[in-house]
Amino acid sequence: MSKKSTTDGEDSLVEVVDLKKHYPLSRSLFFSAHADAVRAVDGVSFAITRGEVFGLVGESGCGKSTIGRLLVQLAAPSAGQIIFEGRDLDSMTTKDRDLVKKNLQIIFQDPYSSLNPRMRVGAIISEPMRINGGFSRAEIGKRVADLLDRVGLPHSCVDRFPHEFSGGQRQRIAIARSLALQPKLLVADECVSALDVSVKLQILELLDELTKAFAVTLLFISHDLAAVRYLCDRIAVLYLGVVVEVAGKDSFFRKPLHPYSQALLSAVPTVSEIALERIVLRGEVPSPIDPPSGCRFRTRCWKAASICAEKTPPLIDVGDGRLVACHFVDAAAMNEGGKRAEVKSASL
Amino acid sequence: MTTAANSPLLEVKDLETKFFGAGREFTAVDKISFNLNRGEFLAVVGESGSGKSVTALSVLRLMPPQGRITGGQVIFDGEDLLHLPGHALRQVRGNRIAMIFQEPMTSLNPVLTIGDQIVEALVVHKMMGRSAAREQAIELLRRVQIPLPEKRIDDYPHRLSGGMRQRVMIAMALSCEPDILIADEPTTALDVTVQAQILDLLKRLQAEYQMAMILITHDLGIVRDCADRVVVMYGGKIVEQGRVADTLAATAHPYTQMLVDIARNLEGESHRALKRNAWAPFQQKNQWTGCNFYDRCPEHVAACRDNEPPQVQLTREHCVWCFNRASAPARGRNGRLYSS
Repeated sequence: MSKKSTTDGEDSLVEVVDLKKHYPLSRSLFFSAHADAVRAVDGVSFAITRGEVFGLVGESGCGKSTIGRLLVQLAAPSAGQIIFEGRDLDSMTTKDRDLVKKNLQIIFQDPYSSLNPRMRVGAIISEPMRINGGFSRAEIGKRVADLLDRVGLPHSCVDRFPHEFSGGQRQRIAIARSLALQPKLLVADECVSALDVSVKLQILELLDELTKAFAVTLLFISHDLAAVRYLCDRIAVLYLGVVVEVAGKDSFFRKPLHPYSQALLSAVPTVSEIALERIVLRGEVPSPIDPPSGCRFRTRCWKAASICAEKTPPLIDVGDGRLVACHFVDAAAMNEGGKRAEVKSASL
Repeated sequence: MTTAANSPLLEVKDLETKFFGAGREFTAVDKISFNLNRGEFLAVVGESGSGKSVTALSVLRLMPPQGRITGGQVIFDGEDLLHLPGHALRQVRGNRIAMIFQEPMTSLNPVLTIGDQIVEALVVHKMMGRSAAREQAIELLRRVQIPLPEKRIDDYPHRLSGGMRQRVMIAMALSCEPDILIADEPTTALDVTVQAQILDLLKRLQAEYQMAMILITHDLGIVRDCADRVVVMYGGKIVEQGRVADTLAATAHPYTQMLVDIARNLEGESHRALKRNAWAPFQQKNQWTGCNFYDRCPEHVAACRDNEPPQVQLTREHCVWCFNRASAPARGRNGRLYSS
């Protein structure tokens, strides 16, 4: 796998190289024979360009949240590198890393559990500033008021508690907190999944607006393809701990190349009269403890052949900034390979 | 079946359900009426707090202690379920009207094998012997496409994935060949590829068993994909109902229009500007007495504030509760006028 294939490294803010996170299983009497670890993330490489919104999509258990946690240093990788602004986070001293961590912030999925119920909103939003220091009281007050304005909440919120707010408003508070230190990279982990559609769209609009206003790079993790389509510039599709496809948003939604991407996209029910040929996959995602040999998707893939079990398909560049890991997709096949899932707009 | 073939299978009339607590009351379902025909696939759509789940629970009188059905009728097969004595109601629940829930883990008993749980329904309702019931349970698991059903039947729920558990729930619901299957957000907790499998399965089984289905969902995409008819709920009331194709192509209520606009925006189909005031979630109305949607509605008129909106019949099956449609014809997609 060529590690520099996504960007030339110059303008990339974060680069992840062959990142792995294995959670060892405690050896019990029953499983002592061979099971060793849950391979949550198993060799993932990608680079996020400064200022872009990068989407990470995939189903439960594909490792997308783990990648988010690794990036903001909430978990330590088992192997691989995370390179932030050209510096490897792993080889830094703890002191240096603490300085970098200020630039890495995260918004979580559930705004009910990510805000301390016993803290007032003002204290929640200002906490990162107080912890990191360097702000006077007046500065903090001004900053909190400014952040509340930006996320569309009244100043009177500072003295109220999280339980007084709805889910969407809480997510706004979480967003304000995440921007308090003006981070360079913001990780949004399923941050709209718990919200109703109308509120979801508001939060997506807000994120869109704020990432531009604060010039922050966003890693948007979601299983919701509609949300990803709304917000992201580029998308990486994960399956069972590995990246199967990386593509620009428009080309991805016009013509997904990897069979898994095609199935994923076709499975989303839509209101619009855009009809993708529905591909209903057989079976379920295999266990990340003992993933299939070769291509991990082969057990559910309708194109699978013997080569898929023998060889792991590399993530190859098929042109147009797209990377695909499939034995049946190459640059030549790109022109007709994706046709099957091409969007057919019905006449209205 | 005692009722005539052309009368509806289930008739909900002026159903009202309230929740009581701390000296206050909250009307979750506000005098709604709808019908379900034999073999029909009906979707009930709405956001959180719209009363869609409470409606489903009220039909089977599965209310939590704080909730009470305070009025109306639910007529199934000529009988009002709301006034049925307990033993007669239990003959309907699970037997003739079955229900599946959003979270399959919490609706399965973790200390019994899935076989025990399916067998129980067959023994109670079909008076089957245990070994015959077990055979039947295996057959049901095969019907819902669980691999190796002979082995799986002795598994406990925690050994199954979310999609498999939902299949078990469906198998259990089908065990008595119900007339009606109520599915409350059956795929919300599942991944999209598994959701596609489950919806596919539900559609196929519905045709195979000739059941009527009530699918409760917040996803208009699923409605378009599966249902024949749709009921749109907001703030405990039905705001619009009709055939899915008509309703989505010619939305008549501003709330339905808003849901469709949002969905189209997210799908990258439309860039129709959305009106921001329409976006706050529903709150119990206190400053006005009229239409629930009054405060969010981009098209409200003076009458909406203090008067209940009238029911307007647009076509034989498509009707809406809105002052704006009382005289004007329905709008088509993108605001075009729709003439029928």
